[in-house]
Amino acid sequence: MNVYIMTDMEGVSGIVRREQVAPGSAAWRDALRFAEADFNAAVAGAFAGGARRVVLCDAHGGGNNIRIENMDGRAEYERPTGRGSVMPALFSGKFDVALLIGAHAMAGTQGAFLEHTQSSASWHNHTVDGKRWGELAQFAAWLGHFDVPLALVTGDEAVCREAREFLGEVETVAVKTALCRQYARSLPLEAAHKAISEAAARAVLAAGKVRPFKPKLPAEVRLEFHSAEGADGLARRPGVRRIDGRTVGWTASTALQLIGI
Amino acid sequence: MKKIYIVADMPGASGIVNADQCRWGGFLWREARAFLAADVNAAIEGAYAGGADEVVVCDAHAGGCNLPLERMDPRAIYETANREELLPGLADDFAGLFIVGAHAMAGAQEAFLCHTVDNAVWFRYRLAGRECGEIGMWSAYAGHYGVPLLLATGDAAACAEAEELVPGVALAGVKEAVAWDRARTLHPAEARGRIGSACRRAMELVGKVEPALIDMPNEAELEYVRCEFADEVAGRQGAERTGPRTVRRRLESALDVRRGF
Ligand SMILES: [Zn+2]
Ligand SMILES: [Zn+2]
Repeated sequence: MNVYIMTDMEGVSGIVRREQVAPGSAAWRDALRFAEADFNAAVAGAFAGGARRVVLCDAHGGGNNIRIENMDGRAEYERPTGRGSVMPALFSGKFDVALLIGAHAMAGTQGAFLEHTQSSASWHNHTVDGKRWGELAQFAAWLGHFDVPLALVTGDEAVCREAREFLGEVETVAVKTALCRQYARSLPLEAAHKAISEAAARAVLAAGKVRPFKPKLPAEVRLEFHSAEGADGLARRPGVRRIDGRTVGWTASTALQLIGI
Repeated sequence: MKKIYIVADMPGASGIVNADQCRWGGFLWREARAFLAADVNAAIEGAYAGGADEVVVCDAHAGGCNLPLERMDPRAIYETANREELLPGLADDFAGLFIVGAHAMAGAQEAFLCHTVDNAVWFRYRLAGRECGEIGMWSAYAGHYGVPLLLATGDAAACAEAEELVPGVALAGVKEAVAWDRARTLHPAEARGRIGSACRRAMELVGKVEPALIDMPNEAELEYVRCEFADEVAGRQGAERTGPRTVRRRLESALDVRRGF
């Protein structure tokens, strides 16, 4: 049983204000151990559930959030390598199930801690065949392209709702509740770690029963930016059409093209 | 007695072709102030040549202090706007409103630096149910005093927006957008000539153009770029949250167009 763990930071237990996820800030440096603890809990759970190989992707802000010396020595660690390789190991290895730890809800979700989709400074709405998507659906579709089902999502209550809406049969652990966009109330750390670890074990044990997320293809993708500035950047790429001042669109023929082209 | 009120914004001034030139306090902004000054001086000259007796100029870009007063026409009076009083010195004895250096509303197409109030915060603004930018806000505000919009200068998109608001309004298009943050401009000397003659035409419209009147009470609705801004404003008196990123407010008069957002 090979397990892929995708991670983000906004949905980590103990992280309750925006500054804690701003790479390089003092608050972020302190919050790294919260992220490491949630991620280690997921790794331990995966092995307890029968994993033979675990690869964890440190993806928030492109990576560099975990200190490898603090991480569970049984797993392998990687980070996105840029456009086209969000989860690098999927291209070379075969995985049976994936977990998403520390997730956040899509841009435009009320009552969601640090809601955004990819860039809080520029992405307004990402839609696939008219339905609004967040990073959760993006990651699930990306994994689905490689036939890997997403079986566990941890984060705030809003992303857990979003996960059930997109994936139905997914295991979720809500480690916090948003008070407003910028502040949250977290579970006690130990309780959160225990819940993550147990859910990860259950998800790995039940891996065969969860189906990969495979949206209908080809699909019409729209990307609406906060400002025309964002749309200008993509509009010149081949296959991309300008829909209006701040929106570009394209037809995705593979799941990997649902997120970018 | 013909009094003219001129609002000076910066993105639509001739000679300004990239975003940095409008970034208040920056190196390129320092030089670009001369372009703005030349356009505004041309408008003041045109107003007097067309029969104005008094001209008040509001330095409205980024909180004011863009116009180098030592280079400005000494016949006019100069002021700056504040957060809620958009055109502080305007009163019902003015004959017309001129907007010099205008830009189109957020989300406009092929529009140089199009935005409404704050590109990093305001996504879409609706006044009385109709999508509206700064040109619309200023003309509605002036409409409260019975003062009509008589002239707009700026890029082609700003001119089109003004024409749609007030058919027949005097226009001087001085440039075209190449991308959101780049434009192709007339030479400032040529632009000054066009602005001057448009202002003389505008003076002939005095008494012939209706002010923008909005039935009161009415509503304004603002969609922000992220939930945090709606979180903040929605708690205030008179604000109603109409969506995750959207807040609606009641207007008692057109002087409230900007109030409380
Ligand atoms: Zn993140
Ligand atoms: Zn402006």
